[in-house]
Amino acid sequence: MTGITLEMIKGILHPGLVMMVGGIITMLLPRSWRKFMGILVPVLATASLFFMSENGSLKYSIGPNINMEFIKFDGLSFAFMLAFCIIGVLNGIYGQEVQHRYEAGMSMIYAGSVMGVVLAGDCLSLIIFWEISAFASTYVVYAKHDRLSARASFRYLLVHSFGGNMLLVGLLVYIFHYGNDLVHLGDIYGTPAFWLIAIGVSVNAAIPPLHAWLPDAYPESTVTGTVYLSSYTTKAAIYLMIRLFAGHEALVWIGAIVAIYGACMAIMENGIRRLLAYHIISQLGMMIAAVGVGGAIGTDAATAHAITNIMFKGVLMMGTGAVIYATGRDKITELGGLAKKMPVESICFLISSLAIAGLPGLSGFVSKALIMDAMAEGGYTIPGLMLTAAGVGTLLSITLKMNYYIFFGPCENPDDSKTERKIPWTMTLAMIIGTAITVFIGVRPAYFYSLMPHATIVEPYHLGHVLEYIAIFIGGAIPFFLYLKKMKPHDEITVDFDWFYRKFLNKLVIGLSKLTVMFFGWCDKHVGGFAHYLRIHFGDPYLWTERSTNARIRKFSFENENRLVGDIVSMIIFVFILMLVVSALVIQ
Amino acid sequence: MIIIEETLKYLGIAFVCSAALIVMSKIILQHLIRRPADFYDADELRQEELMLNAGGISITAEHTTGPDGVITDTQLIPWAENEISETSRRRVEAAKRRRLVASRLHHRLVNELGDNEIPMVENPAEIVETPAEVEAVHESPIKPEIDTESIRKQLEQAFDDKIKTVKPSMKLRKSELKAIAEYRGIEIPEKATKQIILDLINSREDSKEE
Repeated sequence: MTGITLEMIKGILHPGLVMMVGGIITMLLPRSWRKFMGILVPVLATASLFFMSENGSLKYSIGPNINMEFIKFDGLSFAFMLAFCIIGVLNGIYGQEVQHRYEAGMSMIYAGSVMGVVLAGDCLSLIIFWEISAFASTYVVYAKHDRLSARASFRYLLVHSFGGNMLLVGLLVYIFHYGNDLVHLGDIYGTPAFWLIAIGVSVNAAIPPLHAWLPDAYPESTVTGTVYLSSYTTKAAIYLMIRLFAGHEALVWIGAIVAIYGACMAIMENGIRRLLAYHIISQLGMMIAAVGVGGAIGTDAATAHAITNIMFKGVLMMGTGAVIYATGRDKITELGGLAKKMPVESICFLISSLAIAGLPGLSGFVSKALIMDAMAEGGYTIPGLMLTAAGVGTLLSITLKMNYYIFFGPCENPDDSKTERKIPWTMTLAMIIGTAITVFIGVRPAYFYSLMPHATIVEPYHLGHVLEYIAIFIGGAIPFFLYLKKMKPHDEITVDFDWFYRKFLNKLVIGLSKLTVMFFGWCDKHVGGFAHYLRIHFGDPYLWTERSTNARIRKFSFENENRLVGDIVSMIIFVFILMLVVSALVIQ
Repeated sequence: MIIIEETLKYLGIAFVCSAALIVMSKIILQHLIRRPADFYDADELRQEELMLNAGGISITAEHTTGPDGVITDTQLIPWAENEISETSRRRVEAAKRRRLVASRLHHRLVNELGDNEIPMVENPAEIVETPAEVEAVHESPIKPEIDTESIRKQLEQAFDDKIKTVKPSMKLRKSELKAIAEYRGIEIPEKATKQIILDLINSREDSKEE
């Protein structure tokens, strides 16, 4: 007689699957139950994470020689999973009062699929969860159900389809040579599979010029959707980069450039969520640089910064969501003096923004210390300086600019500080818990470091290091106040690489369509002339000439008929060109 | 001593980096890549606006503006019927009918009077909407007897029925959502957006469910 044993239960308790099944059930329940499920499901996923053991595995056979291994559990996956589960609970609390049925369910499915990516033990499981996360996150982008979110989600889907297909082809090539197991992924450098996988992962890691989807899509989602999006997709890509590309020196330089790029764009931005979206890119640059250093300290640094980033960026996104919920506005130029109206949220935002800039005593300081130690250990002086500059950019764009112009600075226009709605207490609670975790990591770095895959221990709180960061804060803040007038945002946007497929290709398609129309118009006209000639010289073949002689040149263009067609065609051409370029690179 | 030197070094680095980032972002890059907030949607929004304002003329205009915002070129292009509102569509259809009538009238005049010099009236608006004709219609003793009051009442009744039965969504107009909220006794802030009104209605529904 066979019975259900504890080991069997442990085997099937996949936190990602718990989240996904929970998400499906949530979509079927009435709202009062949905609220309950919003917290219960992530808590169950967290509990199942602690149930898992080092040797835990969940295998499923889909053919005579093909097994799918849904769980491969080690220190790295545990660290990421822990962060994903905690932010899942916080998101559940945050979205209690504001999430709609399908948004709530799809958010959980999205979170679960990303967890599935982290736990995947083979290529097939990885690509399945990867694709599910792409589609689920597309719905999360679309959850606001307006014109802008619909278009942004469409672009998001196309870009991620491109990235997903690159990864799929790369993994298929890898499977053909090495089999379904992921263990040889580190040994494929320079092969076509390597480059295809690298491009697929780079899309999700938002490495320029493949990053434009991030500031395009994240700000268009709902207030809760943006928090989910900022926590999962990019961090899963960093997890894969640690697995696949740790120790590749080029990544150190790429990461440093990405960090500076994101910081510069964030300084210019006016939209609060778009600003934070650019800042995600900057922080990802720091993680990528740490991945490039490799080794135990590089891996731990990237992991530590990803985890702290999930926490404080989550709280920052929650803060901006609370501002948008309360005021209905999302531009810095339309906001000001909100600290008086929403004091608790302002304090949480301030603490998290100080953490992201690396103030001693908070989590950002702990993880950045590890990154800077990794850079020093690897002998990367200039990239290290570039990361310091990116840190100063963080200080300027979030800690100073956002706090000054949105919360604590003088309010020039009384309308800017007006709020329309009261913020639900669940939103505030989630922000408080997130901030508390940020502070806890900051004051207990040893415990935090012990959770890292290699448990690298550094001592961030020695006098010299603390003074360095305080000096960076002071030195970075002085020019901000000197250039205060220049730092004032403007009600404008900054053009990024998305211009290529949102403007250039669109115009190109319209131009080509007009050219085609002119050609057909010319043909039409001359056919008409020929028919007229026939009528004069060979009688009046009325039935078949009348239509031609009366034919008018029909002007047609995508622009006039339906701009969406232009958008679709231009995006497809963009994806096609990218695929051609990639294929050419791979063939070479 | 070394600690102080290091601290001062980082103070200097941070100052220089901060100043450089501000100069690079807010002075150089901003001038190169800064665009109006509706940069990506401007063409589309302008098209929609022109289509809606076209009012009976089956063309719309696409303007090309110079760097100073002055219109330098105007191109008339056909509108897409599926992108305009129902009201505009009716007005356009009416204009087409007027154009047809004008065309027939022109041919009749040419045939009956034998005068080929009679110019074809291209703009149908000129046929029925000249001030003199409008005045003549208004002063004419034979006016169509339309009971506007009953039509208004019917429309109001239809609107009332709609707000009682329709499911609130973002597809509805803001005024309709406001009316639904008022009908259900929900207080709406003065400057509430459509999303806020919808959220308030939904939250009331949810609390009822509970």
